[in-house]
Amino acid sequence: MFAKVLIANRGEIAVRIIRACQEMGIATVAIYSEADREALHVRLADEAFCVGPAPSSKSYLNVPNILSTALLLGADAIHPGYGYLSERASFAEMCASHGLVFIGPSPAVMELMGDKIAARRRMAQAGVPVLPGSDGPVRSLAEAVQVASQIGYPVMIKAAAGGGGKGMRLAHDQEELERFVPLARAEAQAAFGDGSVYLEKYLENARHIEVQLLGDNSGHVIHLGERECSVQRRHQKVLEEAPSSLLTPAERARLGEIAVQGAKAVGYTSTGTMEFLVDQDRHFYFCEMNTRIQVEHGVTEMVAGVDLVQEQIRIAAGEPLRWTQDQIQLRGHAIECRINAENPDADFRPSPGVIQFYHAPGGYGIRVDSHVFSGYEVPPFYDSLLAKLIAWGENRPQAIARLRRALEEYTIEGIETNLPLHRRILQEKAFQDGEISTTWLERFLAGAHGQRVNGQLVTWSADGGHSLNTAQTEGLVQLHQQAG
Amino acid sequence: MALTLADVKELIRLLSETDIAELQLELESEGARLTIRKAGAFIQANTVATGTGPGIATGGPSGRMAGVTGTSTAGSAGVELGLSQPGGSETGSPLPAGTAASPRAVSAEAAVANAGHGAAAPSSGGGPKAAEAVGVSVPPATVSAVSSSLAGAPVSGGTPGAGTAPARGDGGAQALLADEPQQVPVVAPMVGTFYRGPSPDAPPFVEVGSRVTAGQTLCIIEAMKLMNEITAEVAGRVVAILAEDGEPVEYGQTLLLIEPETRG
Repeated sequence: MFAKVLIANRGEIAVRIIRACQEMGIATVAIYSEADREALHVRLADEAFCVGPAPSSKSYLNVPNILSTALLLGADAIHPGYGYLSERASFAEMCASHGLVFIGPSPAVMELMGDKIAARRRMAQAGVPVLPGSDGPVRSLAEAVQVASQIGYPVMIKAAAGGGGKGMRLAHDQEELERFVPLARAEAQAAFGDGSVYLEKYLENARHIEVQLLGDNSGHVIHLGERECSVQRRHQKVLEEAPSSLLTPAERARLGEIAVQGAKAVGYTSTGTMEFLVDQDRHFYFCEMNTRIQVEHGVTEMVAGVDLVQEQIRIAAGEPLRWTQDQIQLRGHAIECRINAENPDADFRPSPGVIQFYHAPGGYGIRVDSHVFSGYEVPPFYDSLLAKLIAWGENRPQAIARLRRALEEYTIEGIETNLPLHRRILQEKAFQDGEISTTWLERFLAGAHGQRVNGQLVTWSADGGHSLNTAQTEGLVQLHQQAG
Repeated sequence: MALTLADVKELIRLLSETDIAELQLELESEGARLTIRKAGAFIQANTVATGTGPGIATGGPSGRMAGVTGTSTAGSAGVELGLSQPGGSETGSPLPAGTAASPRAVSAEAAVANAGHGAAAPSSGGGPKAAEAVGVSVPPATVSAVSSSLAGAPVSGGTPGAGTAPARGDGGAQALLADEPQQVPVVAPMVGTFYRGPSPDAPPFVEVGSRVTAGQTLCIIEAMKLMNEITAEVAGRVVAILAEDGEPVEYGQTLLLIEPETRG
């Protein structure tokens, strides 16, 4: 086992990894930017080293400074968390050439899965169903038009190097396709330095369901069930749950088997997630594989009783998996809300600033993974994730009831957050009934956002009393009366 | 003053372990005065030195503070350490190096968090580590940053600024260079290993008191097997060397202080 691990990340995931290491008796090294001097991960780690100024490109992505820190402070391994360097194969290679273990899969698998076109091909070969689409990158507009007419509109234009919704455009017809392909190319070029795009059939009202995988160095791969992440806004996950409210036990087993089959075909090691879209006829199609720990890994941990970060570290240290597939028993239901520093009432504009008062909920079945505290200043330089609130229940209705209770209790003052949005989602009957899809939240928001009362944009009716601020209350009451 | 830094640290340790709630101890000798005050508040060590030699400011490496909010914890003991010369200086314009009796006031603030002694640690809540950092200057000493970290952490130096260094809640040492607006910090532009000389056997590029010209090499930071020469941006005199030879330095860490040449 490693004696010392450097965590090449910040925020809640850095804290999450430090906690895992502490429980395993592994010393930790935090890195931080000048803007994160006061951050919790810096305080919790055994050692901390500043690696650059505030912009991520000069600090959390500063490979020379990060590697220097690991070497100078004697770390054995680097945990990249998610985002930043977590899916950069060249970084994993550099770690290896400096005698450092990169906690993740092999650079070769990262590179294969990082190229979404190559990954699609490889998975299709391995017998994993993929969406109809172009065989490779579309080289010309004419080719794009031809492919689209074969697979039928609407089609999704995706970046080969993609991820996080960047370089993705939906075209409903040829006119849109001709307009969006060059746009998606430019976006992909800007975001990833690679302008290759490909086409995929777009599924309407599909559900996003992903399978959590664990593979060790001797070819042993298991799955820990699925997560459903259909509640999204602009391809960003907002709320996730495990298990999916859609799948039957037989479908769950089948999906898991297919994912394991795909992972084994590429010799996958470490934690990884295979993402699928499930259409209205309950057919599922591989979308992409994320070769890292994911933001929403906590919901799987809650139902599977497995600490995924610790297992990831054990696998990287060369230890075999400690379970066979039969030993994995999923129990209950877990739902996670991503609490972001953003204003749902102002087009989700980021809301950095000082948290004047912070109170996180607790109690049985509640878990909060976060790096914030009273007096913490949310810097404007990084993503807006403040916390992940996870509720576990024996079943989905109990998890929802517990999550609603916790959301009521959660208090973050001084900045705007999307807590009110989550409260609203949780009380929505469609959500409670599991009637969700990847477009559900945006349709819901469009409906709720449509009305202005007294010049204030009103997000929803006053049904649950969750007005964003008191100034709106009067308008909300009026709206409610109109609606009633 | 016959006290060494180790003595002072031992004194602080003993004090923090005693039941004495409040105490003020003053020792005076050879023109220097040591004040140690123990109070019930957050632990702080203030070092004020007025010397006959070159001004000294050593912001000890910061000890990362335990406890999230940076406020004191009930029951924690506070120890304040002051070292000054009676009749010491008022504010004054800096005088050339080595001038005897040049009144220079330099103060350094350091947090002394004595982990392992519950009474002295600002937090006893598990998890966060308390580190020990002591910044001390003893005239007419040669400049040295003395630090120790219980967490074994190579940690950041304070940021000397013209009296503007903001107090941080992290217990970090701050060298507050009161009335020394001219001192220019030389900071590490990268993470690496700090070397004072071109090779282990060679003499250091500069010593405290060295006159340097703009562009002159001051030290080396080795990063990714490359030797990066750090050069002076201004001509002047080296008044402090704050990093230890052969030790890791983090991005932005203050390595040296240069007092630019005064004109007229």
